[in-house]
Amino acid sequence: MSDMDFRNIINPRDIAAFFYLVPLRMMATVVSPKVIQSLSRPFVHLYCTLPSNKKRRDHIREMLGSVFSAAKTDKDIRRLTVECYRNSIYTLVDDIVLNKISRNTLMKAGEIEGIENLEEALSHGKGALLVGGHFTGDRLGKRLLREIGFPILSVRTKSPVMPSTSLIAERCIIPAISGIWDSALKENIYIEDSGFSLDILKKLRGNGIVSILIDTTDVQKGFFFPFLGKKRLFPANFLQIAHLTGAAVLPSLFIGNSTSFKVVIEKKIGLQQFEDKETFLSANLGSLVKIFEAHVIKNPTQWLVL
Amino acid sequence: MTDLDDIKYRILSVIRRNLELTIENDELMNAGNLNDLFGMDSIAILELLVGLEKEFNIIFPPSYLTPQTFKNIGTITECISSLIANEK
Repeated sequence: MSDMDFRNIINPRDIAAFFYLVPLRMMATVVSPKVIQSLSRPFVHLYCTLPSNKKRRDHIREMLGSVFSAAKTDKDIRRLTVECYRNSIYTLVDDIVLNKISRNTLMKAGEIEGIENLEEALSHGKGALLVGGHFTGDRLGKRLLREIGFPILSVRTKSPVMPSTSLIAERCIIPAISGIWDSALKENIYIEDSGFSLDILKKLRGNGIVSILIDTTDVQKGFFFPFLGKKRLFPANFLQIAHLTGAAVLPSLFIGNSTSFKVVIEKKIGLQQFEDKETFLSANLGSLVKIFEAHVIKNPTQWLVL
Repeated sequence: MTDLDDIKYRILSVIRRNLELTIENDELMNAGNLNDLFGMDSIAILELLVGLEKEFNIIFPPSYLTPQTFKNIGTITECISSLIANEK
């Protein structure tokens, strides 16, 4: 019998998820986003310090330890760990109010750096791939870009079911949270769905924008690169799509929360050309991984630490 | 050789060349589903598509960009012959 046969019906974390999905979401339909954000603050802090979340805190602390090594004291690392974890939970609060935040409020809270890079890339008519990672401001930044005329197709993976996932989480909670993200992002495709690459092609041929997050843990084809002191597998298929379509590849960064967030779009990278496909993928992916690592090192408490 | 036979033959050439396959033509022709035969992943379908566009000097319109179009040699042939006919 496998681990999956002995899963719990419910876990303590599911109770917090229930609170998020039911009362908080119901309140969000009638109460302003600012009030929801204020009310959730003490609960977010409490959730982050629960003993049942120790494994997650340890994972974040290990990452921050790699980023800062000797530059910060243990006390500082512990403080940053809580800040990082809290920031990741605030993104969930922002998700349920995202579509309620007015355009004006969003424009005031958000800052975009490098929109001219995206405009330049799109001027060639072959679409653009925004390549980044899972940072706190991802969904906010995409909503802002959509508001100013740059709708984005997000490439996602379905949440995996782990042995620690309860039956209630698998059947109710994960689909519900996924639905909230679908609603926040508007245009989504999943790599598990057949023909998803054709949807990407359609978007790029319409001179559209596709978002790729390279710190996904579900990698169909990839290469290992050093990342924060360890080897990590990064996906490469999107580069093959860029090669086949001529789409521009632009590193991007979305950080912050609904009170203040920032979108950074860097200049498109010039893809090195090689005859051998594997060399092409590996060389160009390596450049992007270095950029992504630099983003994490500069904004460690804004990364969702997958 | 009829026009359709010519199209099928050229499709088979593109599949074998672009996807670097050594599967016999008969096997490809008779497969009800190319994905079941050789596991056409997300990138392979795009490589095939781009190869076919170059071979036949066509562009697949958005409505044709579905997995069904590339299901087997028959569906691909039908699609391409339709696009060629529309261009004439």
